[in-house]
Amino acid sequence: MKKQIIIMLGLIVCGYAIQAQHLYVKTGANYSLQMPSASGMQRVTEATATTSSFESVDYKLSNGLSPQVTFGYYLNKYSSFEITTGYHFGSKQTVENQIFSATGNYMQSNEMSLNYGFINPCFVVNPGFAKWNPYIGLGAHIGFSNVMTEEITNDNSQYMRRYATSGGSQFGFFGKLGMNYNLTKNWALFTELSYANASWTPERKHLYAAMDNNGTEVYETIKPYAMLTEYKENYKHNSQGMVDASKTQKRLKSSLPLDYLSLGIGMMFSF
Amino acid sequence: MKNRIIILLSILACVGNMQAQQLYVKAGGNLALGWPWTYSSNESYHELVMSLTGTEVTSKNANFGLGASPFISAGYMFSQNIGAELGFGYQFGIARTNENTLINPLTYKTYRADTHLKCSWMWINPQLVIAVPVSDFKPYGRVGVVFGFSPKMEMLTENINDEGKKKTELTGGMPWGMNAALGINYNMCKNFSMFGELEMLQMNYAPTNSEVTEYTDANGNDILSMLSEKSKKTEFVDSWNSADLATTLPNKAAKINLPLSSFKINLGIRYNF
Repeated sequence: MKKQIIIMLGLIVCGYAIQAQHLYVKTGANYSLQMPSASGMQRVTEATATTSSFESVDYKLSNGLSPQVTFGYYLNKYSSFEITTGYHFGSKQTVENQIFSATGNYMQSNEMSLNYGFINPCFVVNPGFAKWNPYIGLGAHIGFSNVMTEEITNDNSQYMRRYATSGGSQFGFFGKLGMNYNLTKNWALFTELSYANASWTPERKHLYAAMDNNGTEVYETIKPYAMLTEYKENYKHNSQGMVDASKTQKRLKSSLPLDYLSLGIGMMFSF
Repeated sequence: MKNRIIILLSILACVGNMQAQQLYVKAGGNLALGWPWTYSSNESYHELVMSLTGTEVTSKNANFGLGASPFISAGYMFSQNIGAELGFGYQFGIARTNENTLINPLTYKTYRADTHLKCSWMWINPQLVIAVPVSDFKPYGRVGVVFGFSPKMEMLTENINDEGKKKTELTGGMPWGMNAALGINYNMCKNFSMFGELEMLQMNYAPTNSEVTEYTDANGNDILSMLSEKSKKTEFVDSWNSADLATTLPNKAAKINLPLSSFKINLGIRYNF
């Protein structure tokens, strides 16, 4: 009888949460796709002297690759808290406009890409399965050091303008659904689908390179109005509509939608 | 033989999951708090103060996810830990107000004309549920996709032109997004339990139409018919030509984005069959 009780107790202990609190580290990479969101942007697909054809353009600035590392802490067998940090290398998005000219139409290209660092603190729950262990996480998405670069060129000349948009904050919610595959006691593979509702509100856009149609550097000749645009929460535009080229441009703050859906894979080590 | 039976029963008890499949229904309500720090360059979403020297514009939050929703859900737990749920609800948008000061173009007199903005829609939400059946407070997480139906964004400006009223509605299209929630289930009695959840919703809405549906003058007379078709209606399209823009036809413009993302607090009752 004593042997039977001991065997029963031993099995019960083995089956339950012996692994309580402990640290873990994950490394991997995600590929993100922008969640579809209209931008209010448009491009000219065809231009004549009397008419123009237009097309709506969606932002795709969230497309890109993000290597990342996660530090987590198991509160118990079923829940953990983790912080993921990484860097988003944005894919290039090109928007082309046809410009009408008396000497012949030409295409103007605007090539954009966005890079930023991010931190995602997250609370995760899982059912505590031994081999294949799914999990759901909910947390915040915080972006920093956002820089969007734009290069505008014409196909009929060497005209070029290069801008950098920066400043401001990027903040949103973050959710994920994933699966751990436990290889050994300490090592596991993971794959996860994550998404966020982030948006970024930049503070300024400045010109940092300019060439004329002949390819000559003309940056020093550019007026302040065309050099720097500041985005403000509050500003006043006058009724005459006159522009003072000696002053920097001021415009209303506008957020760029950066909602994304991403698929990631990587390795996890539990201490 | 007796030893083997005892060992077998112990294994079954340790592995757990004796309570497997379970059907349930939930009913409750939530408060959607919207999401701050979202700005738009469209001045009609912002606060305007006009004067003879110019217009001062103050940015206001351009997220329209603020509202309240009653909802019901039906779910099925395939095991103690994994299940699926289908939710239905209607979000009643809570209006926010921009306190504008406009100027009468004839008298040059300034007057107060507030604009109220809100967005409402119906939604359906299929989800995956992961439950952790420990203690009396049973935590769980759910993640899924949200599809919106019959969306309507209303912009009502009162006292337009010094005592008139103008209402614009944006409709058409289907908002959609993804949601994730963490919740706690607390058993009250054999079949009933209470639940509380924190939920995040990522959702955007691209309407297809904008129309002025109400326009009255200072005496309350309906002057909507005095507007041209181009002034009254706008179609948000993928492509268009400038030759399409006659005053007898609706105006055309690039598709716009209305952010409806939100942070929600859900409360309700669950019945387990």
